[in-house]
Amino acid sequence: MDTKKIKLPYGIPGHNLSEIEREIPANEPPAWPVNEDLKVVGKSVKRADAFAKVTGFAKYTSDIQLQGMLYGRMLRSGYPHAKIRSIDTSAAEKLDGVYAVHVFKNLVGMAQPQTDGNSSEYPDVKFAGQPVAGVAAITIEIAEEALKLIKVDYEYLPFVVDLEEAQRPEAPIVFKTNVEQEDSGGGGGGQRGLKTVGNVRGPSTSSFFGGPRGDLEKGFKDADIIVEHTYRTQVHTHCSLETHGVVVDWRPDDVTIYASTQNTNNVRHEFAEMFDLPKSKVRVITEFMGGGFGAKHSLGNFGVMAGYLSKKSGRPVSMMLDRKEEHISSGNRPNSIHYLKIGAKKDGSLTAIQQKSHGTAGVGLGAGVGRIAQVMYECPSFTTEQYDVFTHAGPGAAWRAPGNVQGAFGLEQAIDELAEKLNMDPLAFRDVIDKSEVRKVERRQGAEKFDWSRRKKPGSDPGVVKKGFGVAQSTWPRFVNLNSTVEIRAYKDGAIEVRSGVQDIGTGTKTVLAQVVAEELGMKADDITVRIGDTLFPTGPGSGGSIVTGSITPPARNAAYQLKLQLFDQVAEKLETEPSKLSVADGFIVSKEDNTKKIAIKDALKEMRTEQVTTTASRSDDYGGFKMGSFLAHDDLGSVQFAEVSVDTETGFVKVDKIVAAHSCGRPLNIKQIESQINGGVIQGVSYALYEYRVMDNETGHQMNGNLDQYKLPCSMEIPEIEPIIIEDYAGRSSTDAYGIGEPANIATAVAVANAVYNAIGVRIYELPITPDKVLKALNKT
Amino acid sequence: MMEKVKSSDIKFCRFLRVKNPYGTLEGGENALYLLDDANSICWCIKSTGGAGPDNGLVDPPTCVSGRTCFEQPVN
Repeated sequence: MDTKKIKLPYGIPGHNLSEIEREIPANEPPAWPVNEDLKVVGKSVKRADAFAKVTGFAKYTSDIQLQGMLYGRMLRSGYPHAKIRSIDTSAAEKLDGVYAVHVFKNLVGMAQPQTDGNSSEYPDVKFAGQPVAGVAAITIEIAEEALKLIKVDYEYLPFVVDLEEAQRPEAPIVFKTNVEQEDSGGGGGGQRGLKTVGNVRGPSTSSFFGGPRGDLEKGFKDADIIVEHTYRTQVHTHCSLETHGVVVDWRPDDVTIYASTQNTNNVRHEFAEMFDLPKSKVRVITEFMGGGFGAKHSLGNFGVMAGYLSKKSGRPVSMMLDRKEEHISSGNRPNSIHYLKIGAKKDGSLTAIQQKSHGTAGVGLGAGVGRIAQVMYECPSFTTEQYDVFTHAGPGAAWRAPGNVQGAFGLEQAIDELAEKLNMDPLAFRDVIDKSEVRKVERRQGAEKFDWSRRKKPGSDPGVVKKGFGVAQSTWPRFVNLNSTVEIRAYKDGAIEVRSGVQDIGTGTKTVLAQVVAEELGMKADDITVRIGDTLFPTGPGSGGSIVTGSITPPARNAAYQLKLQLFDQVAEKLETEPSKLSVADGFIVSKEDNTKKIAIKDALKEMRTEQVTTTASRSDDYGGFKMGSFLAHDDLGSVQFAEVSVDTETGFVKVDKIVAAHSCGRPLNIKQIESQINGGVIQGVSYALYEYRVMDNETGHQMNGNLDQYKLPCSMEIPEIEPIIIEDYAGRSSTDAYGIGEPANIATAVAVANAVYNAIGVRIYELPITPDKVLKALNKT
Repeated sequence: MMEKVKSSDIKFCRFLRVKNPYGTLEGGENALYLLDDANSICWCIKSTGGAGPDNGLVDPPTCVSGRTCFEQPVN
């Protein structure tokens, strides 16, 4: 590959900004300067789809209406653990208005049950809410009536839904194995199989960030101060505005799926695999999407069911989950019981961190506490043991910074406590142990905006309602997905169109793509039409890990740059100059030597030999290489959040008054949209800190608050004043050097609130959510 | 695309999928990297959940040749 060397901005303006020379692909554009010197990028450009959204013109998956469309509903088990002896759907099939019925049968091919040998053609029921069968009918009401006519003969089995109960030797087993399953072979080059005893699998002691390091025993021996506690977090269910759902339109020649998904490409792939179709026969469309926090990457059982029902009926089938289904079955943030022991010397330096956790993702894996304790602070000795505990409860899912929010809740309280024992200010202590330059700037700017000097000694605020001030911080890696491609089309009529399969889950991907292309072409963002969320377009990344902006905006800029060069070639002769002596500005192609020689870009497009010109680019490797593999960029996305709370010591109620949230995301592309995402992350963090909590009934195995009445989300009166601070942090790693903010915005909030509550009342609360009963218990007032 | 953390001749079931905590999907047309086994979600697209077609746990080390529901990858 031909390369060239360029200099790019490097560092933080106002702090340590410099330049760095990188070797980059020869066909990529020169470096942009810092945002201050750009016209469109880095500005608060209005959302590209704002008008469509506020007028209701935007059509979400649940709005899709197709000719002859049926409505699908699924029958779910009311029992948390059972075997199914038989299912009789005959009455449902005869109901007027019912066009198709499908029953899940899992024992496909040569599969033999890993249970007690009592074979059944139906899958074992492992949680209350597990789908068993589905119906498609002309109305939702008829579909639900048909579900009542399906007769299922269950053999009820004992169950366990509680994290601690499930760890007991006598607990009902979720996944049976004949003997203790140990070292099941690893395989594929990945980690070796983890030991499973009863319902407990683990420990996981390493990740791609590495394994244990140093000498833990010596580390604690060297420590002058040791903090040791167990922290608990709750199951957090998936409450995006739009529930999971699809409309599947199975036609003789191809299948079109309208999906509320974070990953159009994966839904297409899973559907094609599931139904043995070529991917070219499956099209997935996500034009507008009502949010997702990680649980919307797969086709899901509802998507599979809709596929069967559409295939059987020959009609499109809409299958949208209702709010209860969303709570009980769509994927949640697992809970955790998290033990941490941290040692430090008198000068503040950390000597050892020991971590052990148990969590449950219900009938699946993924209940760890992330790697934040391993990577955020320098510490010579570290070990972790993370265990999954299986329960007969709805499945966990990848959920906004998976594990790290749970992990941060322990880590950042422990760091706060260490600071106090060392008689140091929590911010000053972090200045000692945290080597991140961006967090150093965030601490400084955040403290100033927050007025950190207001913080007093814990519990010293007089009166019944006590004020408290806390801080916490987080790290999130810069990940990218190289399977990210953008096509740009320029038409003779002057239109510029950006195309990619990447979906906009509400974060503003359409707008930043328009900004990047407009900046490169010297146009306005409004001049650019963005068409995304359709697998007919080149493949885009899934919306997870905060990777979209860092993955899709560099190829967008690079494709625009290639288009620009083509236009320069085309008009150079007319402007009596060389292509290399042309530039763009304010909608014109202009000679750098004589600014009277210019042509409007729209006029240049009219001169094209063909009706349209297309350029395409894919994400190239990070400039200067990756930190690891082909996905982990250098540097992190640091954040520091400050919380101000009022705690009523008579009622136990906590009110979060204010959050100052200082964040970095490389080159910020759209300030208003980033602020909006920070607002969303903070609100969700406050909600996790104080309100949201899945309550399971140990007697029935059901979620008792599977609604938005008793499963509490914050209303406007409970949302604090939020002041975002956005730090430009250039690393010179791609043509845009931009990254996402979705995950980082959420990690530190809950623990910042917890630290503020401690500062208010002088007693630590080690369990989320911080409800009034816990506050009163901490104050010995119950 | 990501590079495999390690290489191996062992093939995983074509229906195994893993969502790692770092934003990318593993399995199927993507390689299995197994970056973080404590914080990754696994599912079988055939059984549409965390339990496989044999009712056993969907877990990369066990979703390999020899399991009765295993199916060879297409490639």
